[in-house]
Amino acid sequence: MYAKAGKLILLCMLLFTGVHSIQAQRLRIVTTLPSLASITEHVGGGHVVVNSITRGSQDAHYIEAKPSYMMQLHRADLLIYSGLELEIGWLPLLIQGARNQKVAVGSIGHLNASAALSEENVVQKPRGEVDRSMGDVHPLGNPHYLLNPYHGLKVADLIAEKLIQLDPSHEQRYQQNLEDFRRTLQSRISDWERRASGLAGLEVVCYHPHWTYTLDWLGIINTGYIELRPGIPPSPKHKMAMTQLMQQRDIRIVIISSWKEPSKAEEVAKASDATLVILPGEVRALGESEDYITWIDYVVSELVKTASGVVTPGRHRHRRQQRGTL
Amino acid sequence: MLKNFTALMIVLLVACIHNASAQGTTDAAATGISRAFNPAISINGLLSGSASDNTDEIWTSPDLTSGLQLQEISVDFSANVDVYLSSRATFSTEGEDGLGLEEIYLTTLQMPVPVALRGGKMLNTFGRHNLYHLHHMAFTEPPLILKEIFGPDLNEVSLEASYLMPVSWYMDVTFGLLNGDNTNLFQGTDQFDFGYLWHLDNLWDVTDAVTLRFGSSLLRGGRGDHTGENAPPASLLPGDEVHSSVWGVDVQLKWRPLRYGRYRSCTIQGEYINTTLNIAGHTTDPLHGYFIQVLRKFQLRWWLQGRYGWFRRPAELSPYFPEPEQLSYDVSTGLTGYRYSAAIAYVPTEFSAFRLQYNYTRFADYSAHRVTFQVNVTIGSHPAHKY
Repeated sequence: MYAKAGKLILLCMLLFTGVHSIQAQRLRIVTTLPSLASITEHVGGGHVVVNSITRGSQDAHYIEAKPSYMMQLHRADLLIYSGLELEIGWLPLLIQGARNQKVAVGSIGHLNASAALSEENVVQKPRGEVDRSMGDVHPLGNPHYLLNPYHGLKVADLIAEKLIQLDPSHEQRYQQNLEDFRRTLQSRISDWERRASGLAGLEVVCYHPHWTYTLDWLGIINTGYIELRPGIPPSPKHKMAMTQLMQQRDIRIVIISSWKEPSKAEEVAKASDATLVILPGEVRALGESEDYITWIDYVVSELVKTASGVVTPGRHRHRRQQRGTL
Repeated sequence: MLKNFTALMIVLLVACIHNASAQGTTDAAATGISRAFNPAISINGLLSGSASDNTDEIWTSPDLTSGLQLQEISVDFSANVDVYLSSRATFSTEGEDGLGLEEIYLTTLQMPVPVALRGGKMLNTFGRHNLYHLHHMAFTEPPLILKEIFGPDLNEVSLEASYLMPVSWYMDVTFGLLNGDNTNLFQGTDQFDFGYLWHLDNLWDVTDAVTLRFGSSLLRGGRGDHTGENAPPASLLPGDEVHSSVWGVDVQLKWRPLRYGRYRSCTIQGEYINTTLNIAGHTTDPLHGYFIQVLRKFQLRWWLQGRYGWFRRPAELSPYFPEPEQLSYDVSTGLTGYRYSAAIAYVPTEFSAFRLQYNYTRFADYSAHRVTFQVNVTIGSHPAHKY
C-alpha cells in the first residue's frame, strides 16, 4: 500500500517536473493587446507561451495598472506592446512595478511593435503643436495600425526577428511559422480585398478615429466623427451637425468600436436613418474573432454585409467617379 | 546628529542627481542640451469654496471653515535619471503660502534581484491612502484618522525597499527606514531614533472585473528627547524612553467591467489604524480609528461617493497629539470624532474635476455642517496614478 502510494507520488513529481521543465523552455511572452498575442502565437507556435494584458473587450486606452498585470510582466522573457503611446497611461507603471530586467526599457526583451512601421505607414499624426483642447490626441499618430493587415505582416516579421534573437535554437521553426502565417494572411488579404472591392468610395461616419487604417486600406471614406474630439463625447450641437451632414451626403453607415457605449452613436444613426455597425475593437472583442485573421475577417465581413444591406448598388460608385477615384 | 546627516545626504543625493548636468560638466557633451530630455512637468490646482455653520470659529481647521480657498498648488517633475534610476519631485503650497518641497525621491529602474528601492523625502508606504497626493483623493480632505495620527500624512526622508514575493498572486513586501521626523509620532533628534516601517500588500483577481486588495502595515520608532512640539508631561523622568507603535490594515474591493469599464465602476475602500505609545515600559491605550469609502462611477463623467471616518483618542495620549485647533474639550475623557461625507463629482476628463461635497463633522460635543465645491485642474504631463 505504502509502496504504491510512494510510486504514485514519485510519478506525480516526475510529471510535474517534466511539465515544469517544458514550460521553462518556452519563451514567456506578454503582449499588451490580444491582436499582438495572436500574431506572436502564430509566429512562435509551440515554443512560446503568450499572455495578453488586456482582453479584447477592453479599451486599451483606459486600462488601470493593476498589480496583477505586474506579476505577468514579472515572469516574462519578452514584452511586446503596440507603441505610438497607446499604452502611455499604464504600461510604464507596470514595467516599473514588474521589477524584471528582461523587459525593462532598452532591454532585449522589450519590443515596441510600431517599430515595424515606416513614418508613412502611420496616419493622423498631428501637424504642429498639440494640446489638450484637441482631446485625447496621440502626438505620434493613430496607434490602431494593426487594423490594416499589411501592418500585421510587418509586425509578424519584427516579432519573428525578436524571437530568433531571444531563442536562436528554434530559428528554423520560427522562420517556417512566419512563412506559414504570411502565406495565409496574404491569401486572406486578396480574398478580403476582392470581397470589399465594392466598398471603395463608400462614405461612412465613425464614432472615434479607431477604424482609420481599415477604411484607408479598403478605400472607404470617413466623412466625420461623432465624438467632438478624440475621447470627448459629442455635444447636442455636434450630434445635430453630424446628423445634418449625414443626411446631406446620404451617409447610411455609422461605425463604433465594441467597447464604446453606443447610445450617442445610436441617436445619430437613428436620426440620419443610418445603420449602426458595432465592430470588434480587438481580437476576441466579439464572437467569431478568435485570432488576428478571423478578427480582420469579421470586420471586413461586417462592413460588406452592412453596406450591401443599406447602400444602393452603384451609388458610391457614382461618388467615386465624381471624386475621380475611378 | 547621525540621523540628520543621513537625512541630509539622502536629500542631497536626490537633488544632485536632478542637477546632474552641473556636476558632470565635462561629460555633458554626451547628451548635449536637448528639450527631449526635459522632465515631464505638470501643475495641479485645487480651488474650493465652502459654506459651514461653524460660525463661532470654534475650529479654525481649513477643512471646517467657510470661504474661498486656494487649497493647494503643486508642481510635479518626473523623469528617468539614466538607465538605473527614475526621479520625481513635487513642490506644493499649503493654502496660499509659498511653494515648499513635498516629495523628492529616486526609484530604481533595474536591479539584479526583484527589489525596488525608493529613497528621498516621500509619502511612505503605510496603507493605501497615505500614498495619495491631495489632488488624487476622492474627497476634499484626507480621512480623519490619518490626520489624527500622521497629521495629515507620513512623509519622511526615508529609504524603502520592496520585494515582489514569488507567489501566484501579487504580494509585495516593503521595508522602510524613516528618519523619524513626524511631529506626532517621532520628533526625535537622537542618533538612532529611526522609524522602521513594514508593509505587506496583496492583490487577487477575484474575476476579470473584480479585484480584492488587502494590506497590513507596521511602524515603530522612538520619540527622541521629548522636547518637540507635542512634548510629554513633566512627570516623565530623564532617561525614560518613549516609543511609538502604529499598525494598520487596508482593504480595497474594486469592480470595473471589462467592456464598459470607462463608463462604470465601484470601489469600496477602508483602513483601520491603531497607535500606542510605550512610555517607560507602560503601553498606553490606543489612539485608533478607521474610514470606509465607496466610490461609484455611474456614467462616463459622473461619480457618487460616500465616506465615514471615526477616531478615538484616549485621555492619556492628549498631551502627545495636537488638539483640534482652538477646540476646547475635557481632556480627561479623551476625544472621539467622526465625519460623514457625501459627494457628487463631475469629471469631464482626467485633467479636470468638479466636486460638490457635504460633510457632517462631530468632535466631542461640537458639530459642524459644511458644503464644499472644489475645482481640481491639472495641466502638463502628469504621471499616471497607481491602481
